[in-house]
Order: sequence, then C-alpha cells, then structure tokens
Amino acid sequence: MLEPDDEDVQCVARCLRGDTSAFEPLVLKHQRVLFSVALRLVGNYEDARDVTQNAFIRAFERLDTFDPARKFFSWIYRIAVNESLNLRRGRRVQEPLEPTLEAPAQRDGVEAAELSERVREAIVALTPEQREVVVLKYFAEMSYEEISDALGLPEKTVKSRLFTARQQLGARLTMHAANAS
Amino acid sequence: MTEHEYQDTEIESLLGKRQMREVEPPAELEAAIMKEVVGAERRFSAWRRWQRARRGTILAGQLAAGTNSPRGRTQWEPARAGLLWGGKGAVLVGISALAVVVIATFAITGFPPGSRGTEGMIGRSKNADGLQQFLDSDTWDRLMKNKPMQAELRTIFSDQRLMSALADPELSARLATHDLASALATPGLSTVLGSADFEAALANPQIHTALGDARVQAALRNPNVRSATASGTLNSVKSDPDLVAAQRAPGFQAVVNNPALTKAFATPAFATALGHPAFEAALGNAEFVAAVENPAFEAALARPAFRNALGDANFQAALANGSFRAALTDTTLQSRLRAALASAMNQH
Repeated sequence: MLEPDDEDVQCVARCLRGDTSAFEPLVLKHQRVLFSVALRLVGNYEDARDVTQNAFIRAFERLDTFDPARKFFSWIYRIAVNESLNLRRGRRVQEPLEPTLEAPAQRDGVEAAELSERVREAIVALTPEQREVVVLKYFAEMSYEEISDALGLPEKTVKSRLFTARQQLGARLTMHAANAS
Repeated sequence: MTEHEYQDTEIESLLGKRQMREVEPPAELEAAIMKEVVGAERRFSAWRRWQRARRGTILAGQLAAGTNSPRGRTQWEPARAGLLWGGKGAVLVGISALAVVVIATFAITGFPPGSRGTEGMIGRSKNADGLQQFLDSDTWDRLMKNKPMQAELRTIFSDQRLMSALADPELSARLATHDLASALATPGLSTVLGSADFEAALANPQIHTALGDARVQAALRNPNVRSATASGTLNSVKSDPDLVAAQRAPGFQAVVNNPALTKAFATPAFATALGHPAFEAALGNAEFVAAVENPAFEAALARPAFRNALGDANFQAALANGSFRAALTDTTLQSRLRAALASAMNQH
C-alpha cells in the first residue's frame, strides 16, 4: 500500500513518462489549498485563479526537477507562493483585498463561522506588507527563515511585522466585539 | 455578544484554523489546468520528453522496488545515472553503452526495422490449445534443431523478468519506431556497427562495464579525450582531469585500446547517429525508453547469444506468436514450454 505522499510521487512518475492524465489527481488534491493561499496573497479571485493555474502548469513543466526527497505538496506550495509574490511585485498591488469575493468558510457553527469571517475581514484590513507575512506564516506555513528568503527581508523584520500584524488583528477583533455588544 | 480582548496567542490559534485557510476554487479551474497541461506536454521537444521519461522511469523504479517512500534519501539515486546531471551531450554519451548495444543489435540482426508486423502481436491467446499448436509447428521444430538456440531458450525460460519483457506485445512495436529506423539509416552507421570487431567489442564484459562508468562517460564527453582516443594520441592529453579520473575505472583501458571502438569514435557516422534528430526523437519516446530500460532486456542484450536469437527468423516468428508470448507469463504454460524444450533437447 502506497502512502498518500507516495501516491503523489507515483502520479509524478506517470506524468514524466507522458501520461498527462496522472496530473489530474494532483490538481484535485491540492488546488483548494493553493488557491486559498494565492487568494490571500494576491488579493482577488481572478488573480488567484491565474496564479493557481500558472503554479500547476509551471510545476508540470518542471516535474523533472522535483526531488522526491521532498513532499510534492511542499514543492508546489512554494511555486504557488512565488508566483503570487511575483505577481504582487509585478503589479505593485497596493489595493486592499476584496472580502466579498471570498467564498464562505465551512460552517461548523454559526459563531465559529462569524468569528472566521471577522478574522478574514481583519486580515483584509492589514497593510499589504503585514498581510503578506501573515499569509506566508499561517496559511503557507513557512518558517521565519523561509519567509525571510522569500521576501528578501531580515528574519527580525519578519518577526516584527508578524507581531505588529497580530496586534492589529487583535485590536480589530476586540473593537468589533465591543461594537457588536 | 460579549466584549472580548484578543490576546496574541489566541490570534495565532485563530489563524491556524483550517477553515481560515481554505477557500473553494473556481469550478472550472481543474479543467483549465488540465487543458494547459496537455498543451505543455505537446510542446515539449523530443529531447525534453526523453529527459522526463527517463526520470519518471527511475522514480517509478524506486517506488516499485519496495523502497516505499523515496523520502529520507538525500538525493536521487538513479541506478545508472550520473548522466542525468549533465547536458544533452552528456546524456547521449551516457546512454551510449546502452544505445550502441541496441543499435548494434538492430544493425546486425536487422531487427526491428522492417518490423515483424503487428498481426502476430494482437490477440493474446493464452489457452493451452494455442500453445500446443505452436509446439507442433515447424517454427518450434526448427528452433529445437538449433543447438545454440536451445541453450539460449533454456536461459530465457529460467529468467522470469526477461520472459515477462519478451511477452509484452508492445515491446517490439515500441522498438520498431519509424524514428529509430530513420536513425539507423544514417549513412555509414551500419558499416561501423555491422563489423564483427565492433560486435566483439560490445560483447566484452570489461568494455560494457567501462562504458557504464560515470568517469568513463565524463572522459568520453570531453572532446579532447574523445579526439585523442580516436587518433590514438591519448598521451597528449594525459594530464586532463577527466582522463585521469577515467583511468581509474575498471575496463577503461579496454575501451581506449579497442580498435573497433576507437574506430567508431572516429567515425562521423557514429557521432551523427547518436546526435541524429530521429534517434533523439526515438529517445524522446517514453515507451521506447521504457522498453530499452527494462533491466532484463538490457541484460539479455549484453549476451551475444540473445542478440543472435533476436536475429533468428524462427525466434522472431516465435515472439510474433501470441500463444508463445502468452506462455511466457503463464506459470502453467511455462511448465509446458520447459517440458517441450527438455524433451526436444533429449531428442536432438
């Protein structure tokens, strides 16, 4: 029995040998998370769609450089993040995210859903620089060192930005709770 | 709702929740990606497809080898493969050990250009009646009257992996590509490969081993070394690092001292054939790569007796017979094949 990660590697091997249909399970399995990260990094649904599509295609084209010592997911995750960052840098995106474009969360309770929505709105209100480090840290689950490499910032700046971002998020959520009550 | 002051740790916890992370992608995204992927595959050059197919083959082999997850390894462990890291020339030279064996086999035996046709490959009758008909045929009778063939068949019948390879109805079709036939038609190539000396060189285990050694491959990649080898002036490049390294490889001297090989290296047709776009295209065919990379097939090709068998019209007829091929992978029918062989060996 193959491990789930080995199933990915098996698909990679089949793709490399010319069986493009083997790429489909990889898309189905990973598109949701990649799209979610891209959406939060680039700021709108259409760009996130393009970034996700480009990330998969770029990964397909570079499959022969994939090192099976790594997880396929980690590898393509990094590609998607880089695609997102490149798009942001290229367009110098400064405009805020469009919260209405985001799909609703899986609702496991009205209160939890409301809270998730408020967190999302609070993230949207962050500055692009703060939002970037939050997404990379918590959604892309990158280490400080990895974020530092990806953004070309000193690690201490990354930590400091993250701390400030969390402070901002906390303040906004607290303010929202106060207004609601 | 009650007033609540959010602390830093709570914010961290909220951000880490899964429902915060995932958003449903557009419904048409998957189809759009797959359409682009199919287009990308079509745009790959033959060379690129070959590179990818080779890596895919190695990766599949690692998974199939029961090593389970490739993770835990620090890097690729291709069995034959420093050649993966080089450029196009490196790969061509790197595969030369295999390629020349395959080319030579085809050039010498005439198999498979011209092909055996596909009619015999279709319709894999696995029933015993079909095998019995084959064993009663003139083809089998003629095979059994050929002593070297008897010995080779006994060797083949004792090698399950090779039998499986030969039983593959696609194998000969894979090898009989127009691209390969075109590459083999390179003017002058058959003259080089068809010489008895060249065949003898390939049959030399030392040479075969040396050509598979990364250090030898590196030296042969080096134009100075290759030129000096061809002209017999190896001493003029004796301080070349590639040559110094290659000299430590077992069998290297056998390569550079072999007249047939040095003649081949010096022959433009040989280099032309390996660099022939059609040959390159053949190498870009994943199925071709899979066929020639079958370890059992590759090992068998190194045996002169097997190459001779491939050139034998009756053996070709046997391989074209669906019942015979079916018997190669059916344990019950294998027993009947072995028994028929043993019986014939006792009679003749």
